[in-house]
This record gives sequence, C-alpha cells and structure tokens, in this order.
Amino acid sequence: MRTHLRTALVLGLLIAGFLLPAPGFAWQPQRPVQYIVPWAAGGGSDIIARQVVAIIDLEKLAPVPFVVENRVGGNAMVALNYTMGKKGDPHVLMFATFTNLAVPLMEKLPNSLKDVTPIARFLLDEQMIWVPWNSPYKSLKDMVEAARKAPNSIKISGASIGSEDHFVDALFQSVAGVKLNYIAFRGGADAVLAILGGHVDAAWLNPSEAVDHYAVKKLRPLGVASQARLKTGMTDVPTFKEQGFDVVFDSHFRGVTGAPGMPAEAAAYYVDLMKRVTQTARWDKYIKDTMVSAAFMGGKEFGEYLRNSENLVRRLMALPGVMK
Amino acid sequence: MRRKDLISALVLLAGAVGVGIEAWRLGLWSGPGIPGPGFLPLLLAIGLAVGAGGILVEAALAGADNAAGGGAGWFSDRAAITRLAVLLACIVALVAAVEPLGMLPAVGLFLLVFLSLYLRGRWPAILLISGLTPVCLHLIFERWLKFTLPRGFWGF
Amino acid sequence: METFEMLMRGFSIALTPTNLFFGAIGCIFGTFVGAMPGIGAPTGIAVLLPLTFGMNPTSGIIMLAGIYYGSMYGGTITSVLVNVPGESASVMTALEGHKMALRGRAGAALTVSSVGSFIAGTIGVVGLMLLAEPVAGFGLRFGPAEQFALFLFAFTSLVGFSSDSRSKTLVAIAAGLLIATIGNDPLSGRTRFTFGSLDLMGGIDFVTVAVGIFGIGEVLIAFEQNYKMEFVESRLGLRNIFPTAQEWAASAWPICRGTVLGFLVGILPAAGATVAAFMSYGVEKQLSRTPEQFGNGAIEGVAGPEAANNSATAGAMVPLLTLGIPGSASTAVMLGAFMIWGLRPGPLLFSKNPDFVWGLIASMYVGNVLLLILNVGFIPAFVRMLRIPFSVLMALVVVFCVLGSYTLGGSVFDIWVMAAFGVLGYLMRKLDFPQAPLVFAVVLGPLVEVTFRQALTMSQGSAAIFVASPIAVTLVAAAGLVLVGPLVWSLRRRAGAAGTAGGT
Repeated sequence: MRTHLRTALVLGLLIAGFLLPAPGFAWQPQRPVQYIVPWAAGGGSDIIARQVVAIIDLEKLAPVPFVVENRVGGNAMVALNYTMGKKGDPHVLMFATFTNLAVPLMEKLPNSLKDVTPIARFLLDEQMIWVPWNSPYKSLKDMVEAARKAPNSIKISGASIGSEDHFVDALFQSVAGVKLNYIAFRGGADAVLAILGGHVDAAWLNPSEAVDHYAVKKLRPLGVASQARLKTGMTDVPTFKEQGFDVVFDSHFRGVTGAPGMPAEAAAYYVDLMKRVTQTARWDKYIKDTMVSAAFMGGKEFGEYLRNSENLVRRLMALPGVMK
Repeated sequence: MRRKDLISALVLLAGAVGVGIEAWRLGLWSGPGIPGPGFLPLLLAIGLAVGAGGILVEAALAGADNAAGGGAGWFSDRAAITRLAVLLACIVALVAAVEPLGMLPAVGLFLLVFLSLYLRGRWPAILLISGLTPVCLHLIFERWLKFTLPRGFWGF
Repeated sequence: METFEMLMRGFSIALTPTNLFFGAIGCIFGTFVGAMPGIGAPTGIAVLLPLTFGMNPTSGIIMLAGIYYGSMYGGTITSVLVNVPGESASVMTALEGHKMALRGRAGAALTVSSVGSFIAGTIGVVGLMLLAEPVAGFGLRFGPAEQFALFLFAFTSLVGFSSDSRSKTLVAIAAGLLIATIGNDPLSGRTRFTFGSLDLMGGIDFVTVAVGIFGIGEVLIAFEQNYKMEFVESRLGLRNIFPTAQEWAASAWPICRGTVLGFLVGILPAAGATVAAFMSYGVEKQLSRTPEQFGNGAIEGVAGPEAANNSATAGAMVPLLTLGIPGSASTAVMLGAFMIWGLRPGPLLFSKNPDFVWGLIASMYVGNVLLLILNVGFIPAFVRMLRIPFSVLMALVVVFCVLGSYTLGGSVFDIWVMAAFGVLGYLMRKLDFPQAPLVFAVVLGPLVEVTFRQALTMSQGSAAIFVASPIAVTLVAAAGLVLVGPLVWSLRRRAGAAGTAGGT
C-alpha cells in the first residue's frame, strides 16, 4: 500500500515535471474524445458534464468533438473500471465527483480515483447546516448544547450513507463530541423536503438547494463547513471554524480525470483545455446561477487534492458508528 | 398435484433459505428498533417460504378436487420446443454478438438469420428489413440522439 | 383575476410563431423518444438538451416541456402495439392496452388514451395554475412515515384485488421486492445480493425488468404457442380505429378519476406519474363492475392510468416550480435544464421570472392541444404498423428491447439482465404467476423500504410514528382495509355458498 502511494507520488511529480514548463501544446486529440459520465443522463453530474461539452463545442475550443457516454452502474464503479481498462489511451476522459472517490474506499475495491490521470477540478459545492426559520437554535453552539443534553434527539437530514453529507456530518459529530440522529435520504431534494415539512430538526444542504427558502424565511443557515465563507451570495454566514468547531470539508468536488498512464502531453492538453472552459463567460454564468464555487485546480495539484480527500474519508470511516 | 407447481415451490423454498441466510449476515438491525439492511430481505425470505407453502397446499387441493386434471404437458406440440429453442438461441446470439461485432451489425445479422427462418423465401423483404433497420437505428441513435452504441473490431 | 391576466400574457408568449414552432418540434421529438423503450422522458430530455442551447431560455424550456409531454404520450404507443412500455408510467397501459390490440381494438386504446391524456393534461395545468401555492404546502406534510403509508396503500390496493392465486401473488411481490434490494443500500452504505458483481452494485433498473418481462417474455410466449396475433385485417379500417360509444361511456369516469388522482399523487414527493398510474389502475379495478375484464383488455384500465400519468406530469410541476424540488426523474432533468438557463425554480420563481413561468404554463396548454392533434392524426398510421408480418414484428420487438436496455446505462450487462428477465417472464406465464405485481414491487420496493426505515430511524425505533399523524393513520387504515377486505368478503361468500350447499 505504502509503496503504491510512493510510486503514485513519484509518478505524479514526474508528470508534473512534464506538465508545468510546457508552453506550446504539441499534442492535439486525433479522434473524438470519449467523455465517460458514471451517472445516468439527466443527473446533476451529467448536466455539468454536458455543460462542459457544450462550452467546448460552442466556443470551438477543441479540433474534435467530445462525446458524452453514460456508463452507469455499480455506484460509478463500472465507469471507473472501464476507464482503468483504457490504460494509456489519450482519448478517454471520465467525469469524477466525491462519490467516485468514496465508493471504492467503502467497498474496499482495488481501483480508486487516485489511479486515473488527474486532469481538473471544476468546482466545489459547500456543505451547510440549515434549520427551519423558527428553530430554537440560533447558532451551532445552541445546537451542540442541545445535542449534549439529549444525545441522538436532534434529527438531521442529508443524502445517503457514503455521501458527502454523511461524511461531513460524521466529521462534525466527532469534532463537537455529540451524537446527532442522521437521517439518510436518497438525495438532496428529499432532504430539503424533510426539513421544509418539519419532519427533521436540521439538514445538510448545499447553498443552491436552500438559498431561495432562506429568502422567503423558511430556512436559516447556521454555518458553512468550509475553510472560508461563501464568496458570493450568502457571505454573512459564518464558517464552523469561526464558531469554534474545526470542521473543514472541501471535498465535495466535481472534476474530470483521464485514462491511467495517459501521455503527459495529452494530460497537459486537457488541463489547459479545461482551464479555458472555466474562463468563458458561459461558465461564469453557470457557476453564478447554480451557486457553486468555481475552484479550478489542474493536473498534479488536483491529484494531490484527491489523495488528501481520500485520506480524510478513510479517517472518517474509521470513526466508531460512522459505517453502520 | 401438478408437477410444475411442486418443482417451482421447491425452487422457491431453496431460494428463500438462501435469501434468509444472506439477510441474517447483512444484519437485521442497525440500532435498537431500527431495521437494518437485512430486515426487509428476511421478511421477504419468510414471504417466499409462505408463498411456496401456499402453492403446495393450493396444488394439493386442486389435485384432490380433480385428480385427472393438470396432466397437460409444458408444450402444446413438438414443434413448439423447436420454435422456442430457435428464438432463444437467436436472442442469446444477438446479445453475445453485440460486443465483438458491434450493436448495429449484430442487429442486422440477427434480423437476417431470424427472418430467413420465418419469412420463408421472401428474400427482397428480408434483405430490405435487415439492411435498413441498422441504418435507421444508426441515424436515430448515433446521429440524432448522439448515443454511442457498441462498435465491433472493424469500427462500426 | 390577476392569474388570468398573467395567463393571457403567457399565451402571448407561447403563441409567438417561434415558440409555437419549437413547442411543436418538442412534442414530435418527445413522442418519438417516448415510444422507444429505455429512452423515457428523462433520457430524452437530457440527450436533446444541447439542441436547445442556441435558443432563448423561454423557447428552450417550451421545447423541453414539449419533449416531456410528448414522451408521456409516446410511451403509450409501443405499450399498446407491442406490449413494450416505452417508459415506466405506461406499464399499466401495456397490461390492458395490448390485450385490446390483440382483439383488434388498438385504435380505440390509443384514441382513448390520447383523449384521456389531453383532458387530464389540460385539467392538470389548470390545477397547477390555480392551486400551486396551497397545494405545495400539502405535499410537504408527507414525511417519511406518511410517504410509507401512501406507498403501502398503493401497493395493497393493487394486491388485495388480485384475481390470481394468492400464494403466487405473494411470491411475485416478494421476488419483486428482493430484486429491488439488489445493489447499494442508501441507508447503510452496504451492498446487498450482488454476488460480488460490480455491475449489480448500482441495482437493477426498473425499465430493464419491465422491458424483459413484458417485451421479451411476450415474444417468447407468442412464438412458442405460435399464435398469430389476431389483428383482423378488416378491423384495421378507419371506421374501427375510433372507440365505440360504449367504449367512450366506459372511459369517461376513469378519465375523471384518473385526472384528480394523478394530480394529487403527482404533487407528492417521490411519487410521480408511475405511482399515479398504478394507483389509478387499482382504483378502477376495485370500482369496476366487471373486474374479471381486467387483464383481458379492459378499456377502463387504459383510460384511468393514462389520464393519471398525464395529470401527474402537471402535478409534478407544482413542487418543482414552487419549491424547486423535482418529484420525478423527468422533472429532475427539467430542473437541471432550468439551471443551465440561470432559472432556479423555487419559492422566488413566480415573482422573479413571471414571463418564463406563465409562458411555460401557457405552453403546456398549447402542447396538449398539439399532441392531441398529432396523436389522433397519426393513430391510423400507428395501427397500420400492426399489418407488418408477425415474425417481423416480433423480431423488431426483440431489437428494440435490446437497444432500449443498452441505451439506459450504456452497459451490455444490462442487455443480459433484460434477456434473463425475459426468460423469467416466460416462465411466470407458463407457471401461472402474475407478472404485474412483480413489476410494481420492483418500482415501489425501494420507496417502501427506504421510507419505512427512515421513519423508524427518526422515531428511534418506535413504530408509533406510523400512526402519529392523521394522514399516516388514514392511509395505513385504508391499506389494511383494502388488503383484508376482499379476503373477508370472499371468505364470507364462500361460507355463504357452503351454507346454501349444506342446506340442499
């Protein structure tokens, strides 16, 4: 395991060596690029993936078409295995999210996201705790105190076990030293309904899921579990850290990876291409409209980020009571 | 008692036992009073077993009512076995051919073989259908909807 | 009358030549896509989304709404003609509609479902327009416990009145629920019954099951028994394409009931058009004076569910537009499309983007009219498709099932799974197991289980949560009644019959 990690590190550095100084890009894709999406057409990730392709297409950023291919199954593992099988192929890309990272660890599978070629991280979605407008909790501290008095009495909704919501909740519980009753829903939308209907006391929601309910005074944010406050929109919401809880979870990313062992020039080409995608006005507008944070990160840096995130998930999984 | 009911009941009982064991292994509870991943499967195993028992009882009652009845065989005539076997073989061959040959060639070949067996000698129609269908499917799925269908080793 | 003014403004937007044109294009695409198994509304909208990128947002959304509606209509066509449901909400239609087609009444089934869909769709939009705000609050009262009670009721209303062997129905349901548990369990993160296969980890999609059991299963049975489908040539004439007065009369009430039921179910979280169609079928079967007709081509079983799935489509727009919460897979895709144009559906949408909302609502009216004309106009052509020689039709059904199960997830494994379900469907027919309960169980299974366990997690293990709210109590009681009622009824009748027999 350890040697594996070291090899990956060395390899990453090597790739980076090729990557950084390359000024003109000699390499260009020769045939249509296969862009694997591990989720069904129409899901949140699929929409973003298709948005990226649409921008490449409309802005004529690449000489060949990018073809979205939904390879659904095994909680994104079918797509990962497929991409792993395309070793060295410079025309295969795969969309990646936090789930692709967490599932192999949860299922103890041999392949994981660090084995494919890191290309680019597009954006981050922040995790926030929300309560109903008339909730007695005015701050995280109120909530934590109530949870201390009566463990497991506070019901907090979020997405399924193994999702980013579940892991940030685990981190929060361990940092604050309290027990919350985490109610897993099949997706974010169901979790919103549960809190709007008053069926739970709090919810882990992304900014875009909750912002309008905030505007009409139905929901209220208690904190954002990131390094810093939101950059646009709800800039007045304090972070967990500001409130004395060291909960920083910035692993809910969406990005793109390539087939393992892809030639360094090809990887560099895609890093640059994706960077240019994120510099378009269309992309800017999309980021603003959906209230996610633009967080471009390319190549080696992204690879390192993936490894750090994996370590965080491993640590959280080892905590008692996290995996039921 | 009808033999096919007896056999299906026994198969179901065996399945129920397997499901039950796996359900137990998954864990019935994930907290006090909170059903875990194995809870529903165990209930279902019990449901299957009860259903299988019910089938046996129903079959026995029906057998008692009318001892001579229920003797009908599985197939209505000899040729039925051939027809079914040929169709199944064609379907299995089609699915198996999707990856090595590619989706569209596999479909064309399936239509060609199948129709030449059952459309007896109307060759123009057979060739037209098995030729045109893949072309139409290509236009609809690959050109218009931009789906990628499996391609064979020759690239289409 | 503010609503009225807004609506008029909406019409002035929806009826501009450009928007009308894109609406019509959307309807045609949608009908086409809906008719193909495996490419239901969600996939259809997703893959056609890029086509709308060049347009202005309102035209784009109008076209997508047309696709959404069109696919609902289109799903019916293949269900009736060849017993392959184009999408999940049309399964009930396949059950009765295809039997009607075998009797030479394909045209009647298609016409009734088009007209029913039109009425339901239109009334559904009226409901959406007038009731959106109050009704959205009602949907919110359905927490996990209430949702569980609702699904339980949907289930029992179908099961209780089953005319097949009770033991075999029980087995079919248990098997369906088991199939639904395959894969990752969202409430524990564990995988179940995958036998170590990665392909099974994501679970088995409902469409794979339905296409296999109904589509391939039907082909296998038809071929083995060598029955020529009795599409009597003379019956395909124009005069026989439209329903008889008697058929209209039988369909009127089911359409009305389906409309109301569908709208109500559509606004509830997670239920959607499929559950609405199932429930409508159950209701019609219970209310029917001739329940034995069900399963043999009862027109009520086409009219009700078709109306229900269309008004549910409108109903599902309520939580989407007012709360930003998609009630079904298709509305989830619509949500994604809205986002691309910078429209975030939610409590602010009506006040922030009135032109857009009212243009959309008006386009729904227009879309329904377009689809009615389109569908009724093309029914003769669709019905003529049945003149294709039997073996060719069967071969094409096989091809469509294979393609449909592949395009669903881009996996050849799914084709094998579909084919395996085809064999299972064949065996079930031969061994007299009812197929429909298995299919319902696959659809409802995950919903029933997840909400059940969520509710108990919330109450920390106390089952009292299922009777803690008036909604839950009512639904649980209704479920119990529906399940036990017919049993008691038949026992009493049997006892009565035995009594008279003993008397003579």
